[in-house]
Amino acid sequence: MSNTIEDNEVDLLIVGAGPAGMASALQARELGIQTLVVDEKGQPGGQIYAGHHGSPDFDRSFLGKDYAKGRSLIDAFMASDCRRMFKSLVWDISQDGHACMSDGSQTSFVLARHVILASGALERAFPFEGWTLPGVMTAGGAQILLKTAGIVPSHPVVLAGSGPLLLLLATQFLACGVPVSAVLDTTPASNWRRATPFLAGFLSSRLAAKGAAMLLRLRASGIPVLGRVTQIRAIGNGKIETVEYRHEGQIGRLQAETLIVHQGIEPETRLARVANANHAWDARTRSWLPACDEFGRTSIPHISVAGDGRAILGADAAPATGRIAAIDAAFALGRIDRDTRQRLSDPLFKELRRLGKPRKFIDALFSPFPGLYDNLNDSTLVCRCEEIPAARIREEARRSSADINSVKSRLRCGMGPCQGRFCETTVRELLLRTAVPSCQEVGQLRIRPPIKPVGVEEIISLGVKEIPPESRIPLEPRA
Amino acid sequence: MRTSFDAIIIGAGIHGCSLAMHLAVRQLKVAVFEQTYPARHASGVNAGSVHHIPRLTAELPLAELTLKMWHGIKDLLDGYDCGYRQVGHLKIAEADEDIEPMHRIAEGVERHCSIKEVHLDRQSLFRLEPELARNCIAGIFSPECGYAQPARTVHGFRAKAERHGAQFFNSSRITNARRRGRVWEVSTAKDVFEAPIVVNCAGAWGEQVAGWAGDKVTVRPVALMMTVLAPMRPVMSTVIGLTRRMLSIKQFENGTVVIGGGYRGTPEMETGHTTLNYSKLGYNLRAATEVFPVLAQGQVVRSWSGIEGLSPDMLSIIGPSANEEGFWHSFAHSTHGFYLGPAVGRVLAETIVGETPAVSLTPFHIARFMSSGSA
Repeated sequence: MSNTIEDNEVDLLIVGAGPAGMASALQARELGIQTLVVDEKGQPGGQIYAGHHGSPDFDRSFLGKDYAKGRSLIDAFMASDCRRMFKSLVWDISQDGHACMSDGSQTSFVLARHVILASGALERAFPFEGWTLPGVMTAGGAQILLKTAGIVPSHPVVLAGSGPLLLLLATQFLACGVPVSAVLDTTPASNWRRATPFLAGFLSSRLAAKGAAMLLRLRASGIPVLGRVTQIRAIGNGKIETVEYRHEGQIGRLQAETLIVHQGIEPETRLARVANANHAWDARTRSWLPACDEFGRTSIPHISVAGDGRAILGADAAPATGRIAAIDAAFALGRIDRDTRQRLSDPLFKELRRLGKPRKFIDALFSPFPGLYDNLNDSTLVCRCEEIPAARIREEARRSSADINSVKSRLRCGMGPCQGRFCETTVRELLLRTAVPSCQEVGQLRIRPPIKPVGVEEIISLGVKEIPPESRIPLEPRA
Repeated sequence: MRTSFDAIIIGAGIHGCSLAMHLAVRQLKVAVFEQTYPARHASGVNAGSVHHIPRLTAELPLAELTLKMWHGIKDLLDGYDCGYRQVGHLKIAEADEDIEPMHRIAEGVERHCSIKEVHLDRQSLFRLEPELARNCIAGIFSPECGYAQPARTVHGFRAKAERHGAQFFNSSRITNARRRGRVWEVSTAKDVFEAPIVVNCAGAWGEQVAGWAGDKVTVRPVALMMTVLAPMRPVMSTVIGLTRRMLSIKQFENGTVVIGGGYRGTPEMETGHTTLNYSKLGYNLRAATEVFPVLAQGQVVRSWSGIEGLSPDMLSIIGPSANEEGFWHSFAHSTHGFYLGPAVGRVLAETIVGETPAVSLTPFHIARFMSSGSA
């Protein structure tokens, strides 16, 4: 079947061209489904494989083998005959399958018979004293600069936080000669205790060897890796100058031009939420995940989720979830029967089970721990868009409903251009700690379209030009 | 033993909270039941305009009282800043044919109440709002009007009501109310509460609640769309409206611009979810840029809509049940509810406790929709 798109209608719309979205598209085309893939960025690969395609050419071997293996998936995706649209933002999806898509200057409607959201993940926001100073950045942000443009941060560099990405970035800096003063690991002993029961599953995976190799390389280089660090502060006048931390009962200080922080990643679910799909609280990772069946189908029958946007499973598992969602989409569109769906999916489910084995250990080890939000100073900004400090969120939680949308309507946190990307997790954790309600009572922010800002004129272009009849004001005053 | 109150209010929007406050300061033991949380729908997510809607002359006495109350809202709420700013409301004539009807509307206001209005010629119009499109030719300025922060205002009333002993039950949907003798039994899924007085402040959901007292009226739920733009440099100082087409624009102190006017999306009553209608929303933004061309450079941060109820004649339903003792209404405020909130709560409280009300509520009684046979 051909893959031309007429009248802005398409069988399958895939949002996101990371590993899940690309594999999904390949699978869909193998099944003959007319497919459109849309990504905000200018090139495929998502965050994990950013820079492989369409970025300045330089030797990226220092990024490691796992990065290099994204190449073959990208090549296959770019060679496929699915339709691709880059630099395009899907900013609303309605329950009847209409997607609003902006290329930055114009918005168009696409009517999709099925949608796979492969929106990937966001870094978990965690504020601390000085986090808004220039020179403080997240590991994900630093890594994108490295992958796409070969830009390295000003040094000395200090890395602080918890999670595999932090160690990976340290080794990548090492490999390209960026001097790292220290890695301050904030993973607390309590997380190690919670993770230990799942150690066997982790040790049997290739991730264990990878993690050990990264640690060994750092040790061998002489870069200090301090464990169980607490109370990170960024200090400086107009930009970061010093990183302060507590380690083994002592306050330590390091000079720094750049502080790179990281506390794990969370699914980016804004499109699933704007479409009003149900979500469920996941206590293990302390996050809301789109509620879906094993194929990734959400509570809205024509919308599926795949990859890290469904649940954090990492880049190796993302293609399998993407393919499963595409097979299920073929079933939903009536192209294959139930048995074929099962037969095609079974090997992928098996692969997912194998890849999922180390996950319990990793999730427990790097889950957001109490101290992360307990020690937040009252004066530290939580919502950067509306400049709301922690104290005001604590105060509102004590005073009235701790429903996060009610707090949003009173304080405006989550109403700014980021719609909670940088504050929702922190606000939720503060509400849970202050008012002691359940996660169900706190809920999740209602996301309003557009999920990211769009020009006024783009929305005007969607509208009628003549005044709608009921919008005329009757001119005669009424008694 | 059942928990009993002097008055049970159904709905914690601006009307439920204002009434709760006005009853609580009169020493009544008040309970407010809310199916989600205070200010969830139209009360919390409207555009915050505080100006009279001069199309309905029956409303003007109430409009006049409420405007006076807005002027003193900070004192009324014991010093709480609900974001009320008296920047004035400017109604604009875009073409010659707008001028005569605009003046007729102003005359109606002058005849029925004492709200001040100033006629502006083209020159004084542009002195007041220099960034207006050049095709605008005249205006009527109401210096006593302005805007407020809707959700903060509702919570200001709620907080004062609580300080005077009112109890709020969030996430508590009332499923039924029945009268037994002089007492009403009001049920949630879990509990039964009782009070001699029940007040229906259920907004767009008020039709069903009215039915428990045998009062029949058709309320049309609507989802009025609003849009907020990312902060811009100061581009306007007043709340803007037009003569012939629906539009409302204002810029808040943080630089954000809110555009509304009454264009409708689609409400879903069961979930409270609303869906935008982009063909109308696009027109809404077009109208805004036709009056303020600079807004075309803006960035839309969010569009949303809140659910509110329209009565058959677009006039609020306020006052006693037509059928039952002790059952009262204050709902279907038909897009005027936020502005009227402070006064309606006060006048209904006065009526309920037997004081002489500042304004007669007779034009708003639900009985106007029922034939004499059923009333």
